[in-house]
Amino acid sequence: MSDVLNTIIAKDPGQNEFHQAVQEVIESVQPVLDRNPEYRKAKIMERLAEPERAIMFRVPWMDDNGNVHVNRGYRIEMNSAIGPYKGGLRFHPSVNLSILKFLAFEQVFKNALTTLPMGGGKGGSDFDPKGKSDNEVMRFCQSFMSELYRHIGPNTDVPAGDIGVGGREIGYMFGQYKKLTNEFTSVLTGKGLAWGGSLIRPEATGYGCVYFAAEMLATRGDSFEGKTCLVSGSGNVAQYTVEKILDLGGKVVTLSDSAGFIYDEKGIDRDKLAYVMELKNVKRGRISEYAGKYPEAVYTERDNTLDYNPLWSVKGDCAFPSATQNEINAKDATNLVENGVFVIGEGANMPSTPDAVEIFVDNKILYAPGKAANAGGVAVSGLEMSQNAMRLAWSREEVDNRLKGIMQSIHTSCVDACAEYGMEGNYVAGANIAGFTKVVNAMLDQGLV
Amino acid sequence: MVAGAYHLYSLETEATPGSRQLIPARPDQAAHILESRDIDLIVLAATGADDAVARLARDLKPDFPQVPVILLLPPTRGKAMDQNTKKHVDFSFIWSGTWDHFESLIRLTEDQFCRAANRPTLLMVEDSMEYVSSLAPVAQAAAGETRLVLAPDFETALEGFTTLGKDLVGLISDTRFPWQGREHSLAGISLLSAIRQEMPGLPLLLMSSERENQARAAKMSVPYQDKNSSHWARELTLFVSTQLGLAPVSQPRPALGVSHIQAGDTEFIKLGQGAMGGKARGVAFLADFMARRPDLGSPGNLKATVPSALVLCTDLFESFVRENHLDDVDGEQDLIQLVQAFIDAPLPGALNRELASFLETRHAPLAVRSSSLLEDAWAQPYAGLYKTYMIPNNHEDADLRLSHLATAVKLVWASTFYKDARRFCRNTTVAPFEDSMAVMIQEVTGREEGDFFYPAVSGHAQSENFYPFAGVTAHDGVMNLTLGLGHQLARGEQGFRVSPAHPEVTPQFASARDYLDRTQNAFYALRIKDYDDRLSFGICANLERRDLADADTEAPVKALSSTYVAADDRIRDTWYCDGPKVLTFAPLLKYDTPPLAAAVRDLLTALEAEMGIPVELEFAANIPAKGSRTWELSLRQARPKAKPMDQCRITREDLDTAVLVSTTALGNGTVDTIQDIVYVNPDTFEGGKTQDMAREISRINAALVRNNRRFLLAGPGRWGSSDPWLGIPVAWDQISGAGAIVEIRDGAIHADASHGSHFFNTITAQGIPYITVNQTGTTAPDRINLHQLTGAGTTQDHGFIRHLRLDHPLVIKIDGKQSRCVILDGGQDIQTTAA
Repeated sequence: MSDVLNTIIAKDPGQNEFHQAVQEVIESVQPVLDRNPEYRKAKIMERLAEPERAIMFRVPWMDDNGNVHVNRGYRIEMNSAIGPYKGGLRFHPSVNLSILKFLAFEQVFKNALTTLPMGGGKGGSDFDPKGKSDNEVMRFCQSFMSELYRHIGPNTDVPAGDIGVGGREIGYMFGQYKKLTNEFTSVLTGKGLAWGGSLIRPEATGYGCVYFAAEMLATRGDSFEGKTCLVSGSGNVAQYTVEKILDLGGKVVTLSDSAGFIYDEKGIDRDKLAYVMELKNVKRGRISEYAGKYPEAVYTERDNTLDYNPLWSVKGDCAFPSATQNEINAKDATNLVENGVFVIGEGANMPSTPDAVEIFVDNKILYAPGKAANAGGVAVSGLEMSQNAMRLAWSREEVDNRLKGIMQSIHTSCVDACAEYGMEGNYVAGANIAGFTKVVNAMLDQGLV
Repeated sequence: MVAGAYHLYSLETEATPGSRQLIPARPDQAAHILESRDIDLIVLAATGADDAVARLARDLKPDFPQVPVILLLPPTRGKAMDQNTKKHVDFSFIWSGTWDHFESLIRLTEDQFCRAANRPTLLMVEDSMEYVSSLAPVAQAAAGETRLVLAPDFETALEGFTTLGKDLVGLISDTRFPWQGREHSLAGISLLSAIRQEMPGLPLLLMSSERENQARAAKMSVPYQDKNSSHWARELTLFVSTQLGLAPVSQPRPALGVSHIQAGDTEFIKLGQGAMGGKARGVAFLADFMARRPDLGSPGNLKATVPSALVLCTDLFESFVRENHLDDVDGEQDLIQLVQAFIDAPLPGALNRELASFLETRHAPLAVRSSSLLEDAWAQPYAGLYKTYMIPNNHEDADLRLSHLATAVKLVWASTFYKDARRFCRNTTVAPFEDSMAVMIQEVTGREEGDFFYPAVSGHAQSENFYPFAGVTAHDGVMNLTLGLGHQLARGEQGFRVSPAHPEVTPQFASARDYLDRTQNAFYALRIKDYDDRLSFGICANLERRDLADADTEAPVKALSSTYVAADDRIRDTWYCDGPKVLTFAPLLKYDTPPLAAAVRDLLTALEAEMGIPVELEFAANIPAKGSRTWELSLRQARPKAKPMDQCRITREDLDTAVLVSTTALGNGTVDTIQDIVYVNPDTFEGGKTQDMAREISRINAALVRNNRRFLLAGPGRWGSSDPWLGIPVAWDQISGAGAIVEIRDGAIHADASHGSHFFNTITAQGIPYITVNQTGTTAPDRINLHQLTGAGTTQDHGFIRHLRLDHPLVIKIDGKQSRCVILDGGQDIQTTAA
């Protein structure tokens, strides 16, 4: 398969991020490719690696002083085999064709894994919203949409937010789309609650991660009941992870922020969680204050000189890294395994280093990689589209139930996929294979288009 | 007297009538006045050796060669005078900014030109302008009518000795000064030996800042004066009065004078005869200025005022210290003992009565603020060095209110003796001036909210901005806003930083998350109910730090907050919806209700034009009282800006020899204390390993911080990026010891420059240079070559990161006006920069 990669590199030299992404996918699905000559014959990798459409356009806009600026806008419509293109828009100076192709390529498999009918895409601009006034951001968004609108639509391509594109930017772009097309339709997700947005968005990742972990426990006839859980972070993901673990009967003993972590042996109950939410969301204080409020808890300050994170040395059954990238290294992974942790649910993006992942897989513990475990956010985007299409706004319970259903299907797909290839219990392989085969089979079904 | 408006105003308000007539002039008026009037002496009071006033010497002297020119320079460290200016100046002095000092320097100048014989004369041999400026006035005051003649070198001294003959009553000599055209370390010893042989009975005094010379003086049986002694002024006075038998001209002063200055609606009541101190002078200047410019400060529903003040002049402090023998207590040794001694000492009865009468009509909280002689006078960074105390002043017991006020006054006075204050004074001024303390008492701007009292906004603005971002230029100015009392800003805590010319541009906030993470979430307020009768005169007096969340239904928070709506992931610019409140000051900054930003911008522009140099402005604002729609803008202080921008100039030679050249640097001034360089080694760099690099840097940082060593940090991409492919993903605490940061744009990482935006609050608060070097093949002359330095010290390789320790400091020069920076390899360059 290295021929495929060489061809891609020769075709687009310099797109390093993209090349690396293709290489990683090829490696992770090698058993699938080996077993399916049909895929090779149909040049499936070559087709996957070529965007169905890459749109690049001029975005002229005027700043508050009347000066004209020109940025470059992009939309990579990577793959629509299983549904309309879906993926975020990123406004950041680092945006270029290579990075967007890389992100769009990954998005195809992430979306496929949710089991929802969503293809993959990504877009954005090298515009930097930092230091721009509200009006400048609005003028930019309007100019951006003045071109993009002709390429997207509720059944064609449904962008969402990403870095530099939040509620404000989605609003400006939605308004401009509506003005140009004279249609109020589900062309963007991440909308305001009053005009088509969905409930449960802040909760989605945390809840989803716990639902996935509950499914993993169920494969061993077990549940959260009585389990001691370690959670890192104290933002949205961590808070709603704790909430859902409490719902399911588990006990959470740790939380952290960038300055250190608390260990509460008695467990963070609902009252304590309400305090944490007030502390972090309203007061925006430090997690260390938790130990002042609840003397039974112990606070440990972060020590930058250590080559491991002492939070992961606490005894427990389940761990939910929900703080940041690479927060679990090989040493942490060993500590976790040695302390009895046998369930890992990644709420953060890529919280475990590759060495750490290897240790989890080798020890055959229930390890849910982020691409499966934190799919809750993407899933709720999909549910936003569904609600818009039905002209309905579901209640919290309705969205939460459907989220749970989606996480259960993702789990089933992963388990089935890895079992099919003789790697039972390996959720890393399962997640890679499940997303991939779904897309590839759809492509074959639809012929050479 | 040629000076900017600020100094002219200060001199006019403090001048005591005398035999000389002082004609004030702006720089552009000087030539005309010289042509039309008979002038005996030109005094140029400059803000720096190279400013417009100093350069005037070159224009005036050739046209009026017969009129002596003296140049007064500020006591802050700055650039040396250039030869061309020097040539046209008869004498130059360091001036502390006060009237008394001004008068003695003029008298000193007259003494040098006076050739009348038969007048007792004291000869002082001293080659340093800095020491002459501080020592000579003290010796002169102690010597009464005796003339004081200066000699800068051995030959002049000997000649003076010969010509003065029997008029000479004594000789005070430095030890190290020029002799035969070269500096000689023991010239003073030789001079005194020679003179002792010629005139054995003449009283002599040897001075030095080199300790070993004390033994040499003892060997010759000559009294010795240590220039570094913290009591040098007292010791020198003692020598002159006892050894020379000279008596100072006694000027009996009335026990307690009361005078008034009225400027518009603002009234200044002065108690005492001495100086008002820098801060009070600044407020008086501001009141005078605002009375002349009613068009400023009150756009829309905003109304600017300058609060009235009661000022206790410096003589009250001096007599309090003297009469209670408080200068014998060594504040550098025992702080508690010092403070207790001040508190125990009684205030004079007359002062007590004046304070009591002042309190009779005032029941609102008071701020008791230091106003030292040197503070704020000459663009010195003194702000916040001495203490300010706030008292509730609402107790029903009038005696208790008076005792609170008296204690606060005494504590402000005591702060003059704190170790930090003294060390700061020594380190930042070039001449060892004795500071003295006036006290200014003003009503606190604010409103009662429950148990507390605080203003809706406290602000600090500067007409120059060393960290201009996103289309903002250095001259658009900058302001820092905080809800509550300004204590927050003085402590360097989070404020809302924005340019008053571009209030919508806030590069530190790109997303809703940034607002949540980086806006103020606590503030300071004065407790005015349920307080201890003794108040808490600790570090914060009766100030309390309150969580914003605990005050989120109070009127100022309602007026200035936005709300984070989690379901929509956005900030809405209103308080009136569900969700955590975020202090964005949006009504003021985005919707002009009221147009505070415009008011501050106009004030800065007008004040800068008036003072002729960059300025700083402190203010506070109250939301409208019930039934009113008018916001109250209280202007609390204006002063020349600390560290004026034009201190640092990059020469062509610098550009040729520099190891780093940048055309996009933030910050200003010279840093010449950094010897450690921590940088990402380009030879071992791998784009996928930036997390490992962050960990290595963190370890090196911890070790350097432990040893109190600041370092230069350099590496590719955006420092602090959350995306590990765009830069080294460090948090601030992992690089907390960085004294300057360099981000390199080259082939290693494809990312646009961050210009420090990840650490915006920290770098702006600490004034850390943030230097971007663009090596992506554009036409910019940017370059960096740290390998060039490798030979100069020790090198430690930590895998990805290299730590280089030089045996001399680097010199980092940033021209904040043009955003240019060079880093020089220290060594011999140090000399020229420090000079």
